[in-house]
Order: sequence, then structure tokens, then C-alpha cells
Amino acid sequence: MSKYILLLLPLFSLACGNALAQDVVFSASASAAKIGIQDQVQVQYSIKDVDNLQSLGPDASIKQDFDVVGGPYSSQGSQVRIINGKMTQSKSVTITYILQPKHKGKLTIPAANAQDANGEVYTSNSIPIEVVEGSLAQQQQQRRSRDPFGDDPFDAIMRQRQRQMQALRQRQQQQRQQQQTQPTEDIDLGKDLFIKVVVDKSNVYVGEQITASYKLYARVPMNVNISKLPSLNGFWTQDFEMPNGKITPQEEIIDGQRYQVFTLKKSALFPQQTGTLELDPAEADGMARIVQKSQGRDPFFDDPFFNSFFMDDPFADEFFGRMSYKDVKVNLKSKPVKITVKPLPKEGQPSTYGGAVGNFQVSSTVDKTEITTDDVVNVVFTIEGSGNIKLIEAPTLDLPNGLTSYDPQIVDTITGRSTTIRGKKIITYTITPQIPGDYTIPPIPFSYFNTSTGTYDFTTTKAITLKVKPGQNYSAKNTDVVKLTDIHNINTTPLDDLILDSKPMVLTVGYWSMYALPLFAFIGIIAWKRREHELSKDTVLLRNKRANKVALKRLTTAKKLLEEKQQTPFYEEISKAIWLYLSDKLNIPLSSLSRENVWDALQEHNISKENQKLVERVMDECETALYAGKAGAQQMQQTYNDAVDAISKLEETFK
Amino acid sequence: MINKVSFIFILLFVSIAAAAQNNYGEIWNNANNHYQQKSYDSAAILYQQLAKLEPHNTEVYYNLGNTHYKLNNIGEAVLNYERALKVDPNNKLASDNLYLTQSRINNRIQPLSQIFFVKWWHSITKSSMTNVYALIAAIIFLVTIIYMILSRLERISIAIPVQARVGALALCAIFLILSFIAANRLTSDAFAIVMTNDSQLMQEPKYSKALSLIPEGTKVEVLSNKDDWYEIKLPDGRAGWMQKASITKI
Repeated sequence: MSKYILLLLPLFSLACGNALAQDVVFSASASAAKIGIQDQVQVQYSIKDVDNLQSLGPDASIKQDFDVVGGPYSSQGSQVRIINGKMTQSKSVTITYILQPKHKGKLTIPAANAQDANGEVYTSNSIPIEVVEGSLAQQQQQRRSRDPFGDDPFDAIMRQRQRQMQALRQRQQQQRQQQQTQPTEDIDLGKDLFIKVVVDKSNVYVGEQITASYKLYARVPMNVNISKLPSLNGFWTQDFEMPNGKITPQEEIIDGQRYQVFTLKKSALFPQQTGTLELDPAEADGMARIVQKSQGRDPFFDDPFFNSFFMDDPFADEFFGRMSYKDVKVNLKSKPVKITVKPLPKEGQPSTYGGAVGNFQVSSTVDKTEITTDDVVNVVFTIEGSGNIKLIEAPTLDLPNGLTSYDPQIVDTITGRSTTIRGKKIITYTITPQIPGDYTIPPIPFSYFNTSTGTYDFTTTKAITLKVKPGQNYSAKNTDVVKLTDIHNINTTPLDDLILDSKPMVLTVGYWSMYALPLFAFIGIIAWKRREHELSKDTVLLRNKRANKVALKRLTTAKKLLEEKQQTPFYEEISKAIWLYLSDKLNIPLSSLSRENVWDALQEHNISKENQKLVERVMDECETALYAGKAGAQQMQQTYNDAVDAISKLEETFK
Repeated sequence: MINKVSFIFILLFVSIAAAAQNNYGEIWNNANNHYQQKSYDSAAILYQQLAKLEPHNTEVYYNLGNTHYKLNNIGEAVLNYERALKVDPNNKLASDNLYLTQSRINNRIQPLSQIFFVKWWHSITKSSMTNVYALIAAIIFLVTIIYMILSRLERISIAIPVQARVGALALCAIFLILSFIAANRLTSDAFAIVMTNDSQLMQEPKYSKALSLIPEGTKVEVLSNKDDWYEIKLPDGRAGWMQKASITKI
């Protein structure tokens, strides 16, 4: 109980009487401005520089709104200041009450009155305070448990630990307040309480285990908890098992001083990268109690006033004891630790090396050896030992053809945490056979770096044989392929030429020319045939057209002959003109032309009888003249006119 | 003078061509020797020199595929077997080896089994049939057109109804179309092989959470492309986007 009153440790050091008259400061302060109805509030009335204080106490009205559950506790302080060579001394008297509000609402903690020997009355300020339902802070509650008027001591006990911490905090506040009025020596705890990170090695290989211990060295009573662990970037960490519950201290002597050493935490660190890695400082917070000598017996103690003042305080004896404790808040920080991480040697590193560092054994098991193609088989590869279990890569299975595996399932378990991290890495490969037959899964090689020898060690498992029978769902369609255990060999026939330009035939010009040529030929033939036909049609028309011209030409020749009176050529010419004209017009070849078919053709062409007769007369005249051989000039003229007349008339009708 | 110069040029050209041809044969034999001596790395480099020219020779791709198989480069092996089969779909050796190689793909994506008529259609239009169809089409065409020419010229007196002639030409067109389709299989680059293991399949052509990780050696169909991405279809019908760098067209 007394410890807590100790909080308000009054330091009686009063130089009486002769102090210079100074301005009196009388103030009231409360520990909170807003509290719950279940809470308690601490009120301090502090008066400074009053000579011969006769009475000090709050107004009686305090009982209206509050229950006084603690106090009055009195304390005194004095301060000596030398300003400009002038010594000023100030004394202060503080009384403290613990109050509990009676009801909710906005209440006022009334002012206190003080009176000095001269009858001067001083009044402090009053403090408004808001009281709400329930409890706002447990800060004040610790009073309750040790409060003789407290109504529920059991409840308080239950929260003992919590309150202790709060009490510590409060004590500190008090101390700070006291330090305002009274200088105290600086507390150096560095030698008495510190935290240290101890590593067993500081120069390691990648993946090698480092044991790091967080140790607290203490020579004073304390209550400290780790508040911040180093961030272990670049490490895989695994904590060692710590004895449950209480940490039993060990004793260690450093520089002749006996320390109690608490191991707070112990971890195995496995560096994952090379270079210089730094462990950040670990931090711990808490309270430490230091022993402090009180300032000696106070003259006040004999003062009748103060005697009466503390008359009813049962703890007065302890209160004024010579030795006192002081609880201080401590924040401990360890020094950062540097660790140099070397890369693993390249020399002798097996190609299958998977990053294991430590000491391991491997084994492999298979859940069944006789299966069908419908089944799956699990091959379990176990790596057991101490080291960086978690960082080991799963080795790949070199499966024969006909077996396929999926990504392995990997389970890491840590089994031992005493001095080294021991554990198992269980890698399960699921294998599905596709083809019946006898298979041998070759041994799985495993190598690890042994840090004690600095070399790579190599172990292997036993080979596994599997008998695979065809299952129900097995179809033998791929059997011939499947019989192969290895790929077909390469083609070694000499390579004569690389076929570099090999378009499919259908995309080549040559191919399409096979189509184009006959097609053009066909089109050409059709065109030619058509033209032929057209041409044959045209010659009829042409001859028809030309007939008149030819006839005219012959008639012109005949006219000349007529003038020259050459009888026979004249008649020949006329005859030719007539016959050729008819041949052309009637489209009858000259060879098959006869009088009969001419008459038929003329009839077909609807030539009038008159014209037919005219043509006949010209023909007769010509024949008579040619074969009889006599004709006069008169007659020749007549025949010529008839021929011209016949041709022009025929021409008219043909058109 | 000009004759002389051109003669020299022709000589030069012929000798270069001969040298080049000779060179191929040499590289080929060299590569085969390396393969048989199990120095697969060297063999792969040599075969690659030939394969780079994209010849129409199955054996180049086939041997390169074998070499990559031996080197355990599943993606490269599948790619080259597929290329060999593209040139000659009937190559039994290549298809057997491809089958074996595919069985070594971890977490292989099983292709959907095709409906019978799709299979049938594929076997009808496989690339090796293109020239066969082209020839059939050409023969039908030639016979028809020669008949038509002769009948035009009245040199032939067999009367074939017009419907039969139209039918023959239609048949010719059908074979031509088949030939085109088969040729397209040979020249198209619609299929590709995933070359890096656990390539990420994305929902969209950008980096995001991967839909799935695709094993090396998976044959995918390329649907479209955008920037550095191909839209692809997996053998099991799923679609997504993959980085161009992680797949190679057959």
C-alpha cells in the first residue's frame, strides 16, 4: 500500500521563515477533464511560496458532488534558484485528494482555501469536470483496490497486473511532476539494464544456420517486454522452443558485475542471399525500479502543523522512510549485428544441387508397385535432417517414357527446435502410368552442402520398380508407339539437296498454266469457228455487193468494145457480165450455173416475168451473136442497152 | 566479249550453287556424326543452320527434334516434330517421337477428343494431299476440255450430255478447293508451341493475374495478335493471351 502513496512522495525540505516574500501561486489541477462515474480522479492543490501556512484544504462543498476516497496526501517541495547572484527559494506544498464523483453531469471540483500565519487567505482555481456513464479510463481505478473505503477489492485483484502497469505509468507522471519542482540526478541505466542480440557465427555460407539469441541483462528489478524484433530481411527464420511460462534467469558476470540474464527469444536464421546482412536492433520497453535515497529527515516532520496534518495517515512511517524506490520507464535497444554471408563454393557443386545446406538423409517410398494404367502411384521422397529444410528445391524425377508426373506436393515439417532446426521435407510425386510394362524409376540424387566439412555431400535413394498392367480404360491404339522406350533414331540418309522453294502445286503458276493453256486453246477454237462462220456469211453478202460493181465494170469494158466494133469480145463480155452477176447474186457457183437453175432461183427471188424475159433475151442475143457470128452495130448497141437495163432492174429487185 | 563475260558469270553461278549444295550435305553429315557421338549441343547447332533455311525437308526437322529431345528441350523438340509433320503429315517416325515427347510434358493439357467427322475432315485435307488433289483436278479439267475441243472441231462423234460436262467441271472445282485447303495447312502459321515452361496465360493482353500456367511443349492455336501478345486457344479449348516471346509458330 505504501508504495503507491510513495507516488506522491513528498520531499520535505523546508527552510522556514526567512524566505523572502514572494508572489503566491495557488493552483488546482485534476488528472482528467472527463471521467466516467466509476472512475476516480486525482486532484492536486498546490500552493507555492507561502510562509507559515496554517491551513490548506478544499472547500467543504466538495462533499456535495464527490466522495473523498483517498487523501489528503500532502507533499512539499522546495526549489532554490540563483538568478543574477540572487538566491531565491521557493517552497511548495501540495495536497492530493482522490475523488469519486457521486453523479453524472458537468461538475466542478471546488477551489481550495489556504491561510497563512498572517491570516491571509488564498483561494485556488476550481476545475470543471465532466462525468459520464461507465468508466472511461482505468487509470484511476488502481486506487480503489488499496483504498480502505473501496467497495470491491476482489474485482481489483483480478486486474492486478494491468493496474500495476498503469500504476507504474502514473508513478512516472508523478515523478515528472516532482521533477519540475525538484531536481533529481540523471538516471543512467545503461550499465544496469541492457539488451543484446547474440549470434553464434557471423561469417557463414548462404543457407547455413545462425543461432540468434535475444538476451536481457539486468541488475535492477524490472518488467520489460520485447516491443520490436529485428526485421530479418534476407533470412528464413525459425524460432527455437522456449521454456513455457516463466523465463528463468541465469547469472552472468560481466566486468565484475553480476547480471541476471533472461533469454527472451532464440531463433535460427538461414541467410538467403550473399553479402553483409545486418540484423536491425531489437527493442524492449518496460519499467525498471531504481533505488533512490530520500533526501533525509525533514524538519517538517516535527512541525506540529504537519504532524496534525498527517495525523491520521497510517503510512506515515513508511512514507518518510529513508530509502525509496523510483520506477522509471526504460526503452532498450540492442546494437545492430552484422553477418557476412559467403556464397557456396562453385567447385564440386553437383548439377542437381538444390540449395540444401546442413546435414540430411534422403529416402524414397512408393505406395504400391503393382498397378494398372487406371491407377496413380505416389512416390514419396523424404529429406530429413538439420538445415535450411524449407529452402530446398524439390528434385525433378527422371521418369521413363510411359510414366508422367505432375507437380509434386511439398510438405515441410519442423520436428526439432533444440539446438539446430531439424525437420523433414516430404515431396510427393504423383505418377500416372500410360502404358503397361515394367518400369524402373531411377534413384533420385540429392546433394547438400555440409558446412562442417565445407564440401558437397551426395546421397541417393534406391531405384523403384513398377509393374504396370493395362487397366479397364486402357485402349491399345497407341501400343505400337508405346512399345518404344526411346525415340526413333535420326535419319542419316545423305541429304542431297534442300528443297527450299516448295510451294504446294496448287499455288504455283505452272500448275495454273495447265489449266490456262487448254482453256485458251478451247476459247481460241471457239473464236476461230465463230469467225469462220461469220466469214462464210459475209462472202455471200460481199459477192452480192460486189456483183453490181463487177457487172458495171464488164459493161464498161463492153461499151469500149462496142465503140471499137469488136463483135466477139463484146458479146463475150456481156455474157460474162450477165452470168457472173447472176452467179454472185443468186449465190450459185458458176460451175453449176445453168439456165434452169437460174430460172428457178430467179423465181425464188420473185423476179418479175418481164425481167426474166429481159435477162433471157440478153442471153439469147449473146449466144446467137457468138455462135451465129453475125450482128450489126445497131444490134450490138441494142444488146448493150438490154444488158444494162436487165442488170439495173435485177439490182433494184434484189435490194 | 559479252558472251565471254556472261559465260564466266554462268560458270561462277553454277560453281557457287554447287558449293552451296555440297555445303548442305556436309553440314548434314557433320550434324549426324555429332548426334551419333552424343554431342547433341553441336548437332543441334548444325541442324539448326539447315532448319533456319526453312526447307521442305522433313528429315532436317526430324533430326533436330531428336537432338532437342536428347537435350531435354521439350518445347524445341515438339516444335521441330510438328514442323516435320507439317511438311509430311504421314511421317510415322516423327509422329511416334512427338507422341513420346509429349508424354514427357509435366501437367500436360490433354486435348479434347475430336468428333469423328472433324477427324475425318482433317485426314482428308492433310497437307500432303494438296498435290494429289491438284493433279486430280487438273486431269479432270484436261480430259473435259480436250473432249470439248475435239467435239467442237467435229473430230469426235461421241455425244456426252451437257450435264455430265458441267458435273465434271464441278468435280474439278471441288478437288481444287480441297487442294487449296490442304495447301493452306502447309503454309499457315495458325499453330504455335509454348517454348517456356509455366508461361502465363492472361485474361487480357496485359500483365495481370495469370489464369493458368502453361507447360512447355503445349501446342496452341493462334487466333489473333496485339502488340506483344497472341490470343491463343489451348488444346482443351480454353482461350487467353500469351506473350509473343514465350511461344513460337510452327
